[in-house]
Amino acid sequence: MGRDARPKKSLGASLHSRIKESRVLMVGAGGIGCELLKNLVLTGFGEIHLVDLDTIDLSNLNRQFLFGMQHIKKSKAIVARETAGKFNPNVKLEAHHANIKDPQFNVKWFKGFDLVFNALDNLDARKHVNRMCLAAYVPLIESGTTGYHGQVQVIKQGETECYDCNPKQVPKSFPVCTIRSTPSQPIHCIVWAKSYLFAEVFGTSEDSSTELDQGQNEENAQEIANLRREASELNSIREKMDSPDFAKCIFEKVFGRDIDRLLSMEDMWKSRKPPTPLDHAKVLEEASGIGPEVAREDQKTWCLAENYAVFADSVKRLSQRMLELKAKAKEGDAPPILSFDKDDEDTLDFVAAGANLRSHAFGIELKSKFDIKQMAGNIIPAIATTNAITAGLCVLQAFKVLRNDLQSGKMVFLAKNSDRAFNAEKLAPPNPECQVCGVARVSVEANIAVATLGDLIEKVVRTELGYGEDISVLTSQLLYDIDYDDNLDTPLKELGFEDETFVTIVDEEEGEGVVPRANLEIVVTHSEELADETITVPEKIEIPRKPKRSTAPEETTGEAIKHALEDNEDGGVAKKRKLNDGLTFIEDRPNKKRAVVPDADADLIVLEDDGAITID
Amino acid sequence: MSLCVNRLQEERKQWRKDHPFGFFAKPAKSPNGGLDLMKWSCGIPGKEKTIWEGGLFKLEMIFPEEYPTKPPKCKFVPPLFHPNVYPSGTVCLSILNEDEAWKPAITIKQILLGIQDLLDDPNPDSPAQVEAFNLFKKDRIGYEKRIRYIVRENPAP
Amino acid sequence: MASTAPSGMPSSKEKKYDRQLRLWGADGQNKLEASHIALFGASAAGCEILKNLILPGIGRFTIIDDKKVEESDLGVNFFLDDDSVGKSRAERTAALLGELNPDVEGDYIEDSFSNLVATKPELFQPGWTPFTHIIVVSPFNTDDVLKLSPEIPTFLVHSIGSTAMLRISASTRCVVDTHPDTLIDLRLLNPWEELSAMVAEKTKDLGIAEKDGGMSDHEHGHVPYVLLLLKFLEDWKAAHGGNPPSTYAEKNAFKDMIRNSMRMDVPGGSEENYEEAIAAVLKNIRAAEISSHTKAVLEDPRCINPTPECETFWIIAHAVREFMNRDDQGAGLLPLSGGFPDMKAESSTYVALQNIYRSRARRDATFVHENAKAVLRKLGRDPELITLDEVSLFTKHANFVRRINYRTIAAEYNFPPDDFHKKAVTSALQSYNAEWNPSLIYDYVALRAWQEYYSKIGQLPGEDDNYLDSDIREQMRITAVDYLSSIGYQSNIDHRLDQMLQEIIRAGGSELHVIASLIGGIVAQEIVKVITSQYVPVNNTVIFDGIKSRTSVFEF
Repeated sequence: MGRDARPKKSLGASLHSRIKESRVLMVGAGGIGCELLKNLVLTGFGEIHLVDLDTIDLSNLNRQFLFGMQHIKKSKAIVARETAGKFNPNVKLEAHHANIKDPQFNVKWFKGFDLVFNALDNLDARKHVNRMCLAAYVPLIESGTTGYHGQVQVIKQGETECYDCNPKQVPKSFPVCTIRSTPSQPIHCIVWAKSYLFAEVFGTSEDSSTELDQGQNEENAQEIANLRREASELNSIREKMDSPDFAKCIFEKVFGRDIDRLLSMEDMWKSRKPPTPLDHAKVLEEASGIGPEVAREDQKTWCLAENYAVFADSVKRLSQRMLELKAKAKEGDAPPILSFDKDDEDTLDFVAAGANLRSHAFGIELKSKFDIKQMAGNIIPAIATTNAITAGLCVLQAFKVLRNDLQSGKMVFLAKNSDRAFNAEKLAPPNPECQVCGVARVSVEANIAVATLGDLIEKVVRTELGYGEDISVLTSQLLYDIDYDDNLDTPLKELGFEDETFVTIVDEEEGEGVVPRANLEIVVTHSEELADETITVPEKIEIPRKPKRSTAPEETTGEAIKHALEDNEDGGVAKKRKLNDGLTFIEDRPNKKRAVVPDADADLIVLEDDGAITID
Repeated sequence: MSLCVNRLQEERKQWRKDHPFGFFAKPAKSPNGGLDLMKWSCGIPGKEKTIWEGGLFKLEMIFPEEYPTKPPKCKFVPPLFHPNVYPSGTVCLSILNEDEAWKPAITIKQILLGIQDLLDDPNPDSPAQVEAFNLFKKDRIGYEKRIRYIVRENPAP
Repeated sequence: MASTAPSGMPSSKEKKYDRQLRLWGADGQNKLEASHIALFGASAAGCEILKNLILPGIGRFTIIDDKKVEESDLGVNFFLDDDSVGKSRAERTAALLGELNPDVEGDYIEDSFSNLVATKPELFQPGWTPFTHIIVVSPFNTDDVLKLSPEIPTFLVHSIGSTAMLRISASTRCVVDTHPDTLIDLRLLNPWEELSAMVAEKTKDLGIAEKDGGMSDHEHGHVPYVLLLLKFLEDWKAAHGGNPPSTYAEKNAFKDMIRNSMRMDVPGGSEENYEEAIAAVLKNIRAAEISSHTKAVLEDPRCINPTPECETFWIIAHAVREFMNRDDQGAGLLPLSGGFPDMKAESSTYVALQNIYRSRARRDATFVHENAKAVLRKLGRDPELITLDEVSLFTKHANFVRRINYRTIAAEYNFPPDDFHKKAVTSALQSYNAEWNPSLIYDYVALRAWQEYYSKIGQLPGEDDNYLDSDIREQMRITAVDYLSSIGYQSNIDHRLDQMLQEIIRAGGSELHVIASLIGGIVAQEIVKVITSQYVPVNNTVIFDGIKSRTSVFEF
């Protein structure tokens, strides 16, 4: 019996041969990616392309089994191809060590695949692939895992919900006031250390504004000087980077003077516990005798003196790196900066110690480096089993897609408790008001160096497609609307168009009985062959009208916002928006007012049924 | 087109149809020829019958990707002397705070009107700069003199 | 972790395992590393299960298999390569799986499950065997599995075509850290002194307008909803003979009472804390209930009469029971978990309120700890054996602890079947409905028939192309019907049974890699739960249907 005998028997000859002829793309070669690649190779998919821009890290090895110790720092895509390729010589594997958002991966390239699998770990890339697959009309199998949770979903333009049909949970962020003046939880101090202090000292400073030039005048020279001094204090401290006093200077400012300044605003502390500034000399003395190795004890909660020791030492290490970078920098280069990276020990030590020092000053609980790493680095716990199950489910859904049996496709959620292992529900139809998939689509070609915006609007949008006067034209910028016609004679290339560009047309017509047309997404592909300003439109399409506004309160479209805007005129209670939990975020977040560290064990919102799964 | 861009285009349309007198709000010009809807330049006039009357104060409104789930950041340019404005110019106001009174349905118009209200009605519970706050608390005369000066230096056209 | 260097520096192993440590902690990891897993049958499913255990770092594994690698194996098993053909399947898979994690020790035995059960019974005896956990993948003989000891956690796995099944058998599992959805318990109907004092202090001017010396809008809008609820409960009880709202109508009236006290002339037109209070009524205004699982634990004979050899779990459970019985400790209530939700409030008030809950939880845990020490002394054991931390973990989860009594394999497979088994299967069959309740019970019946066929005839149905599928199907159908009569089921047999039998025969005993991979994940996950004693493992059977991506869970 050949190696194909069993799969052929189990799957049936027709599906089996369809699989062998398929050309599929897998985006991401990490946790789910390794499992998925193994499944795809052994199942016999004919041609598999992988794209991943990451390199291998030690912390990946507990589940990304295509990689071993000898592969650390190498490209995930390339090593994955090498390892997996050995297990079925009949499969053609191609690896791309690149970012899926690179222009080489255009709509035409996506069209070349029968199926695309997302094995990603970030929202941004997922949205991008979602958009490209919708534009290319290629089915996408989306998946994600977190700890014991996992989810799989099939996406096809026009037939199912797309990734953006339901708004996704966004990560928690904190208001400036809480971070800068009134922290009350460890997470506030961690965000302060990472996004403010680290950025100010070693990164790009937001507050380095030198726009204090409102006319010199006797009266306000003093005031201006004060404001200038505040803004430039950190700047001048940065200049001391090569001095042995550097850590002391930073410490005395942020844990001393800045806190004094906050204290002077007495009203702020009327109903809050006021902070206590830290005394550098005293802390330095307590810390004498504590060596820098304490930084490696990551599970321990360091005391004040230990935190100082780590702080001072990390400042030294980071300064050294910065000075080296500066020395190497050439004339005209942008000034070098360091970025926080949870796996960069030096930056992590600085943020951990800095956060703890601030916590101490504000009477907040201190945390271990291990915990701070998780909070600062948004670490998602991960294990092999969940990835294995999820990847298996992806392939099973793929079988349905290849059989053109989308009707029986499912959206599957892994549950954490053991009353049932999965929840599966039928795929929902597209949200007609979705801004990403609820659009009409057309592809055109133009020579972007010659064709102008006016050409696109007149010839294609108005003449060919029937839009009226009142339209808006947007890429990532607003290019045209009824109030802004500066760009009509500008060639597309000068408006930021590239080889492949997505343009959205919004019909702004309104009035009695007018139902505006649906949004239109035009993919403009550059063509050298077109010598003049012609823009070719491959086929005539009919642009549908926008759907009637649904009456559910949780809408997010222009229509709904407009009504909400009108409702709000008299200061009525604005409707609260409900968010559905997405794949990658782990907190169960109702509309809360206090900062809370995400609970790693919070469940996804899973549909409660009593175990009966609806039959197809 | 993303959710936030869609909403911002709506806001632009609504502003065009109706906005309060003396205010302006427009997306900034982008380096490669379009308008950047994520960054608006705005102007807030001082309210009539207050010491702020006659002044026009410029403000930058920067929208995050997650707008309207998250509020925009509002920053006076140049930084304004006011108890609730940080030395960097950032405005501290409850409706601009995701954890407090921000709601996705709040419009740009409402934000600008809210900040205009704040000018002559500082919030003693959230001081953002020592200078203005202390003057406001301890030397009201000196504070108002300073405001008058600022109004002269930033006249409405 | 045992390997932590003395300086406390994270070892390279800790860095490797960082992501999973955040899920089950050092304690869970230590338990994993102390395990020795035996895999009987190096099939694709078996190897996938083992892969998922080797990666997170079990201590050791041993693969037992007597077959030689064939070319057809290469199409389904990732842990065999071209070079392996003709060689020992046990040896080759052990080698390739071993490469996944150099920290894990691997071994193999070229022999069969059946043979070892007969000739080396000590491998399956608790106290003698080196194995801490046993995995047996089908095909296996019913007679052989009946000889396995219920004391050693055993995982029986089927993976045929698009269907897979897992059966767990083990001695009683006691789980404290079940990772429930929420540990929040506000005890609104049972406030204690400190809590009531805070309510009185913070709400005394609640109904008074600011101009009359009452609260400012800011203060009024920042009273934590927990305190609001407690205050309004007092008012309600005073007006209703000391009784809290209990019916749905009463609770709605209670919500209205809260709503009427909310200030409306504030920015936004409503107060967030009041909205939170109203939203929390239905869920939190209820008598403190003890979950059925906890009741089962507290009424278990091992809890009522702990013996000198019993696990600490039972001693702590006994201490909790005593806590509840004593008026000066719990007075009928479980120890407080201390879990406290997020809410709109001033920081200092929030922290003070949270501390009231935390202190109470600490007080309760301390009482339980003292009780536990007394029990230990009485049993002649070291009173310091159980730490306050261990007690606190228990009291925190007091309403969520579980004791799982697994039915033995013998109880399921013995002939004649016992009443429990009969009832479990017949009720599942009776409630089966192809449209509204398409459970996988018929898949179970089909797999049993398959197993009986294999056990009697020694061959996999469909494997030998000499026999017509239809003849084999008839034979298996007879086996299935026999089984159904033995459990007393005489009613209609849904045609799903025939469908399943057909599928199984068509698969001819072979595996699909993707199904093997999936069941590999499911089984390994359950094994990890059992080893780490965290989260609740399945009791006792999971069936997976790859065509519909569905699972069913049964207790047979």
